[in-house]
Order: sequence, then structure tokens, then C-alpha cells
Amino acid sequence: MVRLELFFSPVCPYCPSARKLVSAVAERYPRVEFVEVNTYTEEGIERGMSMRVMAVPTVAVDGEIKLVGWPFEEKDLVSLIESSP
Amino acid sequence: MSEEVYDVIIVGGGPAGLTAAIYTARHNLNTLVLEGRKIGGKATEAHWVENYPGFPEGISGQDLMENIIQHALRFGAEIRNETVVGLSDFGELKMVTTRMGFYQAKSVVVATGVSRKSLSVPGENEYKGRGVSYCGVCDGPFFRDKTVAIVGGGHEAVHDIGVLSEAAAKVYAIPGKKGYSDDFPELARIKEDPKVELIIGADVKEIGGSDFVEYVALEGAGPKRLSLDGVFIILEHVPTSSILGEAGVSTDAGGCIVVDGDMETNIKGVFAAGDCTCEGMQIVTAAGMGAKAALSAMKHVKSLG
Repeated sequence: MVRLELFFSPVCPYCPSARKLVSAVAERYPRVEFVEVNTYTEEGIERGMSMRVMAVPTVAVDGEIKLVGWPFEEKDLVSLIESSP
Repeated sequence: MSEEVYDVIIVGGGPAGLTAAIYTARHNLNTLVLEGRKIGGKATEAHWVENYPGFPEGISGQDLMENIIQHALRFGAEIRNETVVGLSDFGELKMVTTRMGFYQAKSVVVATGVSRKSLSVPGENEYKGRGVSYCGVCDGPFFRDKTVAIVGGGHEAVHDIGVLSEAAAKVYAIPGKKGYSDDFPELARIKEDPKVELIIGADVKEIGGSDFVEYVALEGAGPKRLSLDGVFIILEHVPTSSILGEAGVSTDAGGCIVVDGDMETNIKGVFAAGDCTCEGMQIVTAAGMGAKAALSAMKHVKSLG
């Protein structure tokens, strides 16, 4: 199982595009557990700060920050998922 | 190349371009809007717009622009997510080149807006997402109880000082050697905020740290180094009018497109509106200029018979 977290905020102008892309890609992989983390909630910001997330959107794979900011390419996301054990 | 000849091609899908599209499409002109980035433009980044007429309680930039997009579509404007890379003038016909192909039109409205300016100092690129941010409302929550700097002298920077001071433990406000560009009303409140320290007469010359941002180095008056956890770079914008060179559209020394009272550039049939003219720099003024440019474009198209 690969845990894919997308940190976003409801006021971030690029986050809607990131959410659309990541959720579409995650859907193609049954072994991906996709979690959207809303950084405008207490739980979300605490989760982000515990991982030293400092910007939205940020993609983390199995607890490690991999992609920060927008844009990022679908192929990079796919590569992260497929190379995860 | 598409054989179709549009009446109007609008380069840019922000408030100016989309308002122009509402006007031309509503008057049954065959209208194409080309926008390479987010449709709706920079205005979609505004967290809350309180000064657009008709919304006394305010509205999010995202919602406002979604309304305007739907308004343009309702009248039949065609909107394509394509990046314009060139503009050529062939007299009665103009050609607009995108990364996908070519389009022809009898008139063009350039509404390319502005783009964010970077600080261009060592460390800025290296620490993007690791302490360097360009959006206070987006990333501010991650700096709760921490120390940050807001670099910039415009209204957006002043606004973000207020946003960051709610969460951060300390905020350094660094407008740069030129100071704040206006006597913004919010500055009076900011100066009274014990969390905010104004650093006047200094520019940031370096952003540094280890894995994350730990300091900025300054040159000019005041302290030479500030220890901090985040740097928010909120600078004045410059217009994105780089496509104009081939067509010979005139810009001023700052790159702003020069237009006459009818929003026409030095090229007959090519008009410009919104932030790319460096006038107003507000959503409502961009919309107003878009309407004016559209009226002029409509008159021009009619004159061609």
C-alpha cells in the first residue's frame, strides 16, 4: 500500500488543479491510499507542520515530501507511485 | 492553421479579456479567448474581493471570476486553454500563434495581465517551499508561532502583513529601499501591532539557512541579518507583453502597452486592456478597460465591412 497525501488549502489558487490531477492519477492505482489534507483545519496544519510542509500544494508519499508547489507533471507523480515499494 | 477568421481574438482570460469577450460575443461577434494559464487570471488568487461593485459582503476571487467566465460563455465566447506565443499584423487580418497552432482574426484585444516578480537573490530558488513563499494566505498557516518576513512595498504585501501577523509570532515588514508605494490605510494599524517590526531603507540581498530558511541578509539601513523561519516575497508585478515584439506593438520603458483613449495600440485593429497597460491595476478597472477595448474592436470590425 502506498500512502499518497496531498496538502492543500481552500484559498490556494493552484490547489484545485493539483487536487484534480492527483485524485485522477491516484484512482488508477488500487494500492494507493489517497488522502487530502486540508491545511485550514487544525488536524491538517498539525499534520503538515509535523512533516515540515511549508507550502501548498505539497505531495507526500509514505510520509516523505516529494513534490512542492504547482505546477508538477503527471509523469512525475506516476513515477513516484510506481517506484514506491 | 484554422481556416476560420474570428472577428475578435482576445489574448488573456482574466477580468479584462473576459469582459471584452462578454461585450463582443453578446454583439454576435465571433469571439475566441486564448489563455495559457489559469482561466480567470490573477484575480482568482484573491482570497476575498471587497471592492468589486455589486458585492457588498465581498466575494472570493475564484467565485467572482467563475461568474465572469460563465457570463462570457453564456453569450457564446469560445475559450481555449492555449498559450499565445506570437502576434503578427497583416493589415486587415491579424494572426495569433499558440503552442497548438495559428488563428486569424480581424481584430485582437491583448489582455495579458501581469506576472509576479521575483526577488532574484541567492537562496530564493533553493528555498522555494522550504521557507520561501509567494502567497501569504496559502502558506501562512505553516508559520504559526514562527518568525517571518514579508518582502514587498505594494498593497498585496501590506495585506499579507496583516494575514501573517495573526498566526506568526513575529513579522518583519521589509518594503525595500523604495518604501511602500502608497500610504495604505492598513499601514497605520500595522505600525501599532507589537508583532510587526518595520525594516525601512533596506533590501534583501540573500536568503539562507540549512535544510530550511534560517535568515535573510540585508543591505542598507538597519540590521544586516535577520533570523527567521520564512520569507514571503510579495512584489510589484510587471506586465507580460513579451508576445508583442513581432507585431511591433509599442510599450513604454516599463514594458506597459501604450494605448490611446479608445484602448487601441499603435497597430490598427490591435487593442489592449487591463493590467498589461499598467493602468488601474484593479479588477474593476481591468473589466472597464476590457469593455472599452471591446467597443473599439467592434467598431473596427464593422468598419472592415
